[in-house]
Amino acid sequence: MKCSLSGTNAKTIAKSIQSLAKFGSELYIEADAQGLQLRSFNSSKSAMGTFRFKRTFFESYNVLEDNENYCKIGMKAALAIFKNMQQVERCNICILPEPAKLQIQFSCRLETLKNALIAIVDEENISTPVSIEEANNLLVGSYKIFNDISNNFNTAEAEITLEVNSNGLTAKNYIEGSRVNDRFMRSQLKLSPVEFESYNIPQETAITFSLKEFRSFLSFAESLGENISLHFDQAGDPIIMTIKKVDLIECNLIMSTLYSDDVSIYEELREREINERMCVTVKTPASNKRKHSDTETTTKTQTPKRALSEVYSLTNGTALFQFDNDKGSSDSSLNYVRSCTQSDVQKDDNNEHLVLSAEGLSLSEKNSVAFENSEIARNMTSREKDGEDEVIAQSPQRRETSKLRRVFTRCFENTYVLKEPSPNSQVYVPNSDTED
Amino acid sequence: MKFCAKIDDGQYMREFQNIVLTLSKLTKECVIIIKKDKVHFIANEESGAAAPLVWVEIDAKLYFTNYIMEGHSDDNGSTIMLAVSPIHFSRALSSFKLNARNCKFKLIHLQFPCLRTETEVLSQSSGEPRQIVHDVPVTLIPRNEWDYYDLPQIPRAKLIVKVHSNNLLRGLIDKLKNISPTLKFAANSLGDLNLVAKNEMATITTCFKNLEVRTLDDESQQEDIKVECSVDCKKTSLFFTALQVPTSELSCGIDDDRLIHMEINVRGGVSVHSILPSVCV
Repeated sequence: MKCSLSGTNAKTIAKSIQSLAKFGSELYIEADAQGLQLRSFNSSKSAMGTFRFKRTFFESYNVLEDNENYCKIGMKAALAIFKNMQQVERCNICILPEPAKLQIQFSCRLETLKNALIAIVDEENISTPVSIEEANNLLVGSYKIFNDISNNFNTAEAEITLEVNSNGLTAKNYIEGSRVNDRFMRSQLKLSPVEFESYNIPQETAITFSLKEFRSFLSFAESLGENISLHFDQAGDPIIMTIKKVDLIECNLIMSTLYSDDVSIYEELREREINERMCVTVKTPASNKRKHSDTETTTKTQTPKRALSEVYSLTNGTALFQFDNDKGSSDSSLNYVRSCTQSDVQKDDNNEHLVLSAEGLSLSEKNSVAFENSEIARNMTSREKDGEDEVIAQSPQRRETSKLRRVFTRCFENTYVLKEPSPNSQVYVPNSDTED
Repeated sequence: MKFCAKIDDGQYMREFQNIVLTLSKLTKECVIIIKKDKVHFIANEESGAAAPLVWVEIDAKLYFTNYIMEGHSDDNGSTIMLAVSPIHFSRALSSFKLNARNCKFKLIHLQFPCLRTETEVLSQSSGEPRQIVHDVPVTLIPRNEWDYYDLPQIPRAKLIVKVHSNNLLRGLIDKLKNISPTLKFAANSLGDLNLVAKNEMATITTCFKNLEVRTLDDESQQEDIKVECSVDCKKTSLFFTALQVPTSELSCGIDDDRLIHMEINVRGGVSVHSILPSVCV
């Protein structure tokens, strides 16, 4: 793949990468005949952002028809390259298959040429089965009004709840009926339907999603000056935020929303639900020059200040993301537990080469039986209680789950659970003296 | 216990917001005393170790239309005392800047007692009214602690000097705090105010001349009354930098070697007071 673009368009791509960098740690690049696509998802895999640039966005665009058109690179590397775009007049991007590197060249003012080579971490791609047309509710508004909504809340606020009905929209930072700690300040903002460009809500609902990813896309919409559309259904179903500029740029942010039943479950149970739905395959490259890199589902980095669970799940059991090698084979029977790579970024100041080395970890194959990835992932989650207040929530109203799973769950946990007292730590009865 | 108040005027709302902003820069927790006809804010000396004692007096009828309160009765009439974090409160009032039309305060109890601020704003883009509601958590102060929060009396200062504006003083005191830990205010009845900062190497004196002077003592009509008082420079600097209210009416009352009392009259009926105790040089 080879393409080149003008300075202003390169600046737009830089802004899109900065937007993705706010929540993602890896950048997936895919080029096909229609255009270039940049994708990333957050560490808990509950949000995925996509930027599509049509081929007319580029000054020249060449794509070969074989497989070497997508790659995955580290986000830090991409961000470092697309940092100072003031002087850039032209930009050339191409994927070099041998060695596997992404080459970015900037022609800057005063005859300067900046050349950067990023090592491609892996060749894989994500596709998502979530489509926009299925969503019932649609909200279209200018970036200004969403900016107002976002500014109403504290920058540290983790989530936002939008309650929509035919009368209007209420944006809150809490969920009705959930217990919060004493020092929690609640805010809400009520807007009338007139303020939106298009307000089409056939189904009343209240959805909760993460504010961090929303804000990063909001800043991109502000830089483009375009409207934002929100497509959503009901609590638990994913919400899709789209930004479109003419025909050239299309951006999607797919986020999972809080499932309405699980409002007061402890935080540990979150990861299990997410990982159950993951279906992951890794492409074996034609040339065996690269080692496989496997990623394990990472622990949630985002810990909310209150004991709301963030169980993100989809109602009809489809995965939010699917990793696949080529678009056709999405039901591979292998489920891998993937471990996150720790990439070492070495900066060579002279030539501005960035070399990423991926630590290859062994593939671990698990049978896809009833337990799936759930219990394994539970083992991997680190029990970090970093001094956060354990708020005891009220008894959750769970639905009936099968007794079998509840009976056997403990077998698949780590033997040593931090919350249970260690048999050696506490002395219940001191040794009695034999004197008496 | 009931409290319900409404502010209709945009200017009053902004002044109220400025007062709360001032308090938020001084301390992490302040006490609101709601009486039948007045609302007081007290920023305690203990809560912010470096902050001076500041209290605000607001005439309820002036700011609030539709003021309803019902609290515990004691000798002075019905009173409600709340402890609130001014930082949270100022965040709740931040929407006042955006073209707010009116706002309502209510004391409610959801899972814990809160002060609810309902603000109606007009959005710039479409002109539609929007409602913004913030619930600020408060703690009710029990009856047996009320004596602790008695309002300080305005001290009798021999000489009260009116300073023109805060800007000069703020920058000056900010720089003087690096010179010396104590600052001396010296004034005389001719309208001179001197700020003196002294360390081993240098003495820096700033002279303000021709300031308005008021004396409290009616008997002594002497020509020359000289008063001076040394105060902690950091506390003074904190007070001046925190001020967000317009300070055209700032007066310093100096009680010879005892304390300095600052008073800012935002408007008739609304005033911000502070007491800086003197320190030994």
